[in-house]
Amino acid sequence: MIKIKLKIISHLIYKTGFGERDLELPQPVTIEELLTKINLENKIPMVIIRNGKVVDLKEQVQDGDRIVISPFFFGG
Amino acid sequence: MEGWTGNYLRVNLTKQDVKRQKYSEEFAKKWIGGKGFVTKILWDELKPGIDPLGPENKLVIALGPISGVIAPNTGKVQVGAKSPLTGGLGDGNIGSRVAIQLKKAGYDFLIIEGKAVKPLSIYIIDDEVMFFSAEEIWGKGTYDTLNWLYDKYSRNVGILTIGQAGENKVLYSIIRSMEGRAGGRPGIGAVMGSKNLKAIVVKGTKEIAIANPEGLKKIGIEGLRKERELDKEVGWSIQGTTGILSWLNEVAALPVKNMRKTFHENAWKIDGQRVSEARVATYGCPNCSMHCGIAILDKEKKLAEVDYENIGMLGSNLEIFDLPQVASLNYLCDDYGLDTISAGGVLAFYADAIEQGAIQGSFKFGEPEKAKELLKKIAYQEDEGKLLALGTKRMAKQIANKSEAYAMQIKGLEISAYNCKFVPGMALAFSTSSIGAHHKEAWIILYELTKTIRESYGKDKAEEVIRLQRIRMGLFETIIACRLPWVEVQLNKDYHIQCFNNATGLNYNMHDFEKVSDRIYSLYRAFWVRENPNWDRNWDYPPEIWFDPKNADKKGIIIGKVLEKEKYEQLLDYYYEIRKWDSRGIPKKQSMKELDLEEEMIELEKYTSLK
Ligand code: SF4
Repeated sequence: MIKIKLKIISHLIYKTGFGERDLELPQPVTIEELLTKINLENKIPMVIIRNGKVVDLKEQVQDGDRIVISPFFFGG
Repeated sequence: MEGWTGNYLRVNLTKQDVKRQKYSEEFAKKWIGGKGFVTKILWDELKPGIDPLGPENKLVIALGPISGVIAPNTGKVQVGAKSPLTGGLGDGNIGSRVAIQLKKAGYDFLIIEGKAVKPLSIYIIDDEVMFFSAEEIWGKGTYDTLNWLYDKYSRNVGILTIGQAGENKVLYSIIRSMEGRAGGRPGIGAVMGSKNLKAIVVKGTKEIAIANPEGLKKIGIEGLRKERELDKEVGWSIQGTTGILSWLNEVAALPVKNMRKTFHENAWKIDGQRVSEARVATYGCPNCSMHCGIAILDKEKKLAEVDYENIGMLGSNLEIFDLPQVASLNYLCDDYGLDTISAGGVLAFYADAIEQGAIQGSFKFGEPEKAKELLKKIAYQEDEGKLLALGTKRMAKQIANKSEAYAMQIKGLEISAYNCKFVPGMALAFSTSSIGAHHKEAWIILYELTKTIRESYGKDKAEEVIRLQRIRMGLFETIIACRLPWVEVQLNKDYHIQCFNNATGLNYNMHDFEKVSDRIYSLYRAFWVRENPNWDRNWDYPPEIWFDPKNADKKGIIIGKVLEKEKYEQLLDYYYEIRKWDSRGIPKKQSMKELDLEEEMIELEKYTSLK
């Protein structure tokens, strides 16, 4: 069992239905698998930040991670 | 000419005289419109060294060849003048019905000269131009002024007006056009005020001549539909620009405490989710199908439009994490006609200088009520408001005591709401923006975080800044259309290029606009150099504190990191190399020739030697 903190930013919250959540997973997963679990598997371009660093979809989620998921921003 | 009307109005306020004049097709094709027109006209018509707040300064209000037509985001105008804030050339882009009405009245731009003896408004209806006393509305805020003008002329007319800040020549006062829409950051509102001009009202009833009306209608309507669909798919306008606040907090690029900090645990209290939950109305520009202005109730229960820039600058940067209070500050800025970005920057700098002991005063971070009092004092130039009305660069000069290092401005313009303590490419974007530190021409933080590494000072970052400057300014601010659909929901920019081609009958591609953009960028720079003949690369540097290791974050994700001077020098050199500017940041002769700027080159050589 691993525990992670998840933060969803901007309009992606309307897809996941939540903005911030602690999540328990039976085993480590990749970011890609995590996205499917929270209803974000569609094709909107996203930025994933794991413990402050931008990572790609193949990155493994570990116990204690803080994962931030946001849409792409191109700056006002 | 089609798309363009080929006509403009020259309005002399001193003589209350109006001339209807024509300009050439060659001028139109070379400068396209909007920022291109503003730049060329002011270069040609302003003598160097004039007082920006004197009658010799001119205010140019320019449209583009697709202004006013039914196509995506064509409801914007460009306003420009010599900036009283920066002393260089200044301009801004405003969502306004003037875009439609002025075009229908038969003009592509207005040149406003001189100074009225008493407060005046101008009313343009097709071929007629009338002057009215504005004494009844002089002294009113922009909300009351707009309502007064709506009552008198109807809600559908185009309006540009100023508040008390512009009347009192606060150096960062803006022009207001309608609910939630304002622009002209480098003090273009003060230029209007210095001319005793309270409002310009425009109504047009003519047909706009279009080269291929059927083609334009088809692509225009398709573009509007596509934009709506994309926005629906992406969901961008639910939070509008405010959606980015939390992200900047996460990536440590949020302006907090005069940009000394890059994130804050309370940022969520003023983020996009809170804004969208508080929404009571939506504002937007004409001809847009993804309205982005979110209006919420402020602390006083008034309806205030908020966007990311003003929440960042009047909220987190002042350490105010109370959304209704931030909205109140924004409402007041809008009403007085103050630029929200600069006002936030000025207040934060003032609080910082007091905290550092550089100046005596009682204002602190996190004090919304005191901030409100100060905004009023600034707008009316009372007490310490007189100092604050000057903007951070001049304030730092007066305050001295090493405060220049943390005066968060570049070329005299306050840095907008992106903290680049450790975002080198964006620091370059701010430093090379034509008007001073504004993000409108290039924004590359996402690129820096996802396409390359944050600490890199590679040439690709300079290339990316220029690529964006060419699109965001060179295309969108000349044909004049809002860049946000392309920026935020990825509407293909070909829609806008095709609208331009159908409107004008030309066959331009992005490459043509790149050349126009480079021409405008070089002439814009030439204007600054002509005003400051000892020009050097120091004008293109961000504030010292972003390089100061003592200012590095002590917790979070960028602990110990700041910009590196030597590497920044290299990045700036890359930028100059691509632009074909010399190491001082001045366009080289050869590049001016390539950009068809020979005449301008000869003029510039009178002031400085060119390489
Ligand atoms: S996206 Fe926003 S700023 Fe752009 S045209 Fe629409 S309402 Fe105006």
